[in-house]
This record gives sequence, structure tokens and C-alpha cells, in this order.
Amino acid sequence: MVIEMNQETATLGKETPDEPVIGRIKGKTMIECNDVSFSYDNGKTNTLDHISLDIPEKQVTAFIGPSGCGKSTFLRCFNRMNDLIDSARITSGSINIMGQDIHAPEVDVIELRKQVGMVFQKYNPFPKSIYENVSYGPRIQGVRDKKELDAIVERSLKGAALWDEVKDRLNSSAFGLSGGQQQRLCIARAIAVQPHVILMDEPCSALDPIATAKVEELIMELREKYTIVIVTHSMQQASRISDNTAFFYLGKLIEYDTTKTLFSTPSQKQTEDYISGRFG
Amino acid sequence: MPGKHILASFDEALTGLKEDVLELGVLCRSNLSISINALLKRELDQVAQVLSVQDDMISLATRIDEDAMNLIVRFQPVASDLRFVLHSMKVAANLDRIASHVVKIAKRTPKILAIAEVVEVNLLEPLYLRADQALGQSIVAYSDNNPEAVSELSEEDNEIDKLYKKARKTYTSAIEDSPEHYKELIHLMFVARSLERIGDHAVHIAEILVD
Ligand SMILES: Nc1ncnc2c1ncn2[C@@H]1O[C@H](COP(=O)(O)OP(=O)(O)OP(=O)(O)O)[C@@H](O)[C@H]1O
Ligand SMILES: [Mg+2]
Repeated sequence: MVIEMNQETATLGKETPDEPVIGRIKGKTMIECNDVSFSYDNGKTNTLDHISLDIPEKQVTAFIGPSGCGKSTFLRCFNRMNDLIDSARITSGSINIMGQDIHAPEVDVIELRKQVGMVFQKYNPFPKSIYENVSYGPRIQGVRDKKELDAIVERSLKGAALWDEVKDRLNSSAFGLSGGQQQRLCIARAIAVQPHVILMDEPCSALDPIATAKVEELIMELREKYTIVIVTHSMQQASRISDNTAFFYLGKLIEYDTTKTLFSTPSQKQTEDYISGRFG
Repeated sequence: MPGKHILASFDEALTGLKEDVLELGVLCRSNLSISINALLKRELDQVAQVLSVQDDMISLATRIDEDAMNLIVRFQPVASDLRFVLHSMKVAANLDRIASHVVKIAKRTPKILAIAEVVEVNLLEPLYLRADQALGQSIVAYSDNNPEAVSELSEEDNEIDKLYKKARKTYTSAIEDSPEHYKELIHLMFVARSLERIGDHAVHIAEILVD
């Protein structure tokens, strides 16, 4: 179903040969990246090289590209996870989320990470009960009321399509769950604090096909409420679940377009070579 | 096709598919020439040959379909690779339709040749030459992945249509002049129609390459 809303077009740079090709991506911008460069060594070398792209809200945007091209680095810029690394910093440009420059001095990083949640490749529940895993974030944020926490846990587990499978054993250890269930628990944990954006770095790469299918189905449901950015090495996964796809190569954004266009008629040779498994 | 795939077997499968489609095209043309020859030169024994080549073509067309499906399942082609596989399947389907027109021509031949001499049969020759040329061009267009061939082929097709209309007119008045041969003349009209359809399929093949 195509819903044509009177939304502003996410414009993403000019169409010169050196700039990513853009134009068909529609929707209100959630994350706006302007000319972002990033260095792990105080600016000696740039791991991300002048990247401009706008990520529309309530859509799934996939990042693809060969290992080491900077997908995870870029993703981690969105909630300033890279701040934790000494000598790592943004060397040019800016990132605005919901119109707010996330590097502005008034931005509280803890608050930012609440708004911009993250799910990792290796599911990483805490060595605690299922209930505690999900209620952890809200408790840290000061929710103390048991009834309220119960409601949050139920809502989040339902949101992560896990409730029916765990509702009778909320107090058992999270480690007793299957890998796929643990990953969905991590997604429940991420949505418990009601973020706007969920970043996912290869969330299915440690899962079997059935668990992967469940997580993919969940991602497509989550899109109704959240803006999702997912890094994946699976072209099939990107084409199944994402609305837009960005292809990165050696720290540069090569092409950014609707997933349909990028996988059927990419405009850059490098993209075509990569997605069709050719030597570059 | 740009660049080699990292998986050599993927390249082999794509090349194999292309070779099979081209082979089907070559068989189509040669079988068309045999069947027209049988009709124009009154060589009835060649009709059987047409039918036996047709059996080979059916197996080849089936194999192309299976190989294309396999290729999609095994290698999950995308972008230009996917378009190439889909184009190949559609081109093969059109060649298959052309082949069945060739068989129709062959099957009408004994009925037409039942009467001693059919003067109007010669009208088919220019029609055949044009249709065959269009078919040849369309196969080259597929081989070179050249969607621009469409415009040239459309012009060719217009000429074929003119020749077909002319033939149809001649046969209609021939039926009025010698109603005792109406059956043979109607068969001839259908042969002309098959040749005209072959021209259409040749244009379709080039059109497939456009999307
Ligand atoms: N903490 C770090 N310190 C220094 N360099 C790093 C660090 N993390 C990543 N890099 C380097 O930055 C580049 C981009 O890495 P990144 O992890 O973003 O790539 P990626 O596209 O996510 O790769 P993969 O697909 O393998 O996960 C690589 O050259 C990597 O070695
Ligand atoms: Mg990574």
C-alpha cells in the first residue's frame, strides 16, 4: 500500500558525479547528516569521508557495503557511541536528529541514547531475569512504580513479539532463551525507553533463518512507530525489510536510494558490482 | 555484461543461459527456412524434418526455463543480472511462439501442395525474407543487449505488415476467382499470417530489452 502524504522530500545533496545519487526517498527527515567526516585518530585519517544523507522517519533504512567501509562507525555516530573512544571524533559536518544538532553543548548524551536506542549483532542481555532486562532502562530513568514497570515490560515484550513466548517465565534468566528470543529481548529492552530511533548493527547475523525471519518481521512492524537504521551484510535482508538503502565504500557514501531502485537499477557501477557480487 | 563475478559458477550459469537462448534462436531461423523451402520448392519430405527439429527445440526451451529458475534460486541475481535472466526467459518464450508458427506452416504445407500448382505461393517469399531478417536482428539485439534495435525492428515490422496486407488481398481475390481452391488459398493466407506474427514476435524480443 502506498500512502501518499504531503511530506517534504528528503533532499540529499546535488547530483554531481562525486555525490551520492538521491531523489526518490520521500518522508519527513528524522536524522539529517551534513558533510559528516569522522576520524579514529584525531583527524590523521578519515574513516568517514564527507557523508551527507537524510534518514526519513518511520522507515527502515539499511546500510550496506564491504567490511571496514565504515557502516558501524557511521551508525554509532547517531547516538555518539564513538565518544567512548579516545582520539575518535567528528572532523567535519553535523548530525541533526529531529532538528537538534546532537553535538551541541546543551545535548545530554544519556538523553540522546535514550532517544536513539541500539541493538547489537551479538545479542547481549544482562545476566538477569527477562523482567529485569526490560525494566532496567525505565528504572534507571526513575520509574519506580511496580504497576507502571509491569505495564512497560508487557508493552515492550509485546512490541518485540516476545510476550506470548515468555509471559509465564518473566522471572527466569534471560540466558535461558534461544538466540532469536534473546535478540528480540534486546529489542524489547531498546523499545522499553520509548526511543524515536533504533539502530541495529547486524542484528540477525548470529541467528538461524527462522529466528532471523521473526526478527525481520518484527523490524517491519516496528517501522510503524520507530525510525530504524540497520547495518546488514545480507543483500537479501536489506531488500526484504528496508525502504531505503545506502551503499558505502571506503568511508564514502556511493549511492543512496529507495531499496527497490538500488537493487534493481543502481546508478553507480560500484553499487552494481557490489550487490551483484562482481569484482570491483 | 560488466565485470566478472566473484563466483565463477555464476558467470558460467549466465553464459550457459545466453548460449542456450541463442541456440534456440538459431534453430528457429533454420527451421523457418526449411519449412518455407518445403513450401516454395514443393519438398514435402522436408516437412518431417521441421517437425523433428521442433522436438529438439521444445526440449531446449524447457531446459532454458529450468536453468533460469535454478539460476535465480542458486545465485539470487540482482540488478542487471536479474534483468538478463528475466529477459532470457521472455526472449525464449517468444522464440517458442515463433517455433510453433513454423510448425503450423509445416503442417499446412502438404495441404497446400495437394494441388498441382499454386501461383500465389511466391507472394510468401518476400514476406518470409523480411520476417527472417527481423528475427535475425532481434536475436542479435538480445545477444548484444541492445534495446535500441526496437526502432529499426518496428520499421521492419511495418514493411512486413504491408506485405501481409498485400498477400491477404491477393488471396481473397484468388478465392473469388477460383473458389474450387479456397481451402488451399485459406491455408496460404494463414501461412502469411504466421509470417506476419513472427515479425511481431521479433519486435517483442527487442521490446523486452527495453525495460
Ligand atoms: N575503535 C576503533 N578504533 C580505530 N579504528 C577503528 C575502530 N573501529 C573501527 N575502526 C576502523 O574503522 C574502519 C571502519 O570500521 P567499521 O567497523 O565502521 O566498518 P564496518 O563497515 O562496520 O565493517 P564490518 O562490516 O566488518 O562490520 C575500519 O578500517 C576499522 O578498522
Ligand atoms: Mg560493522
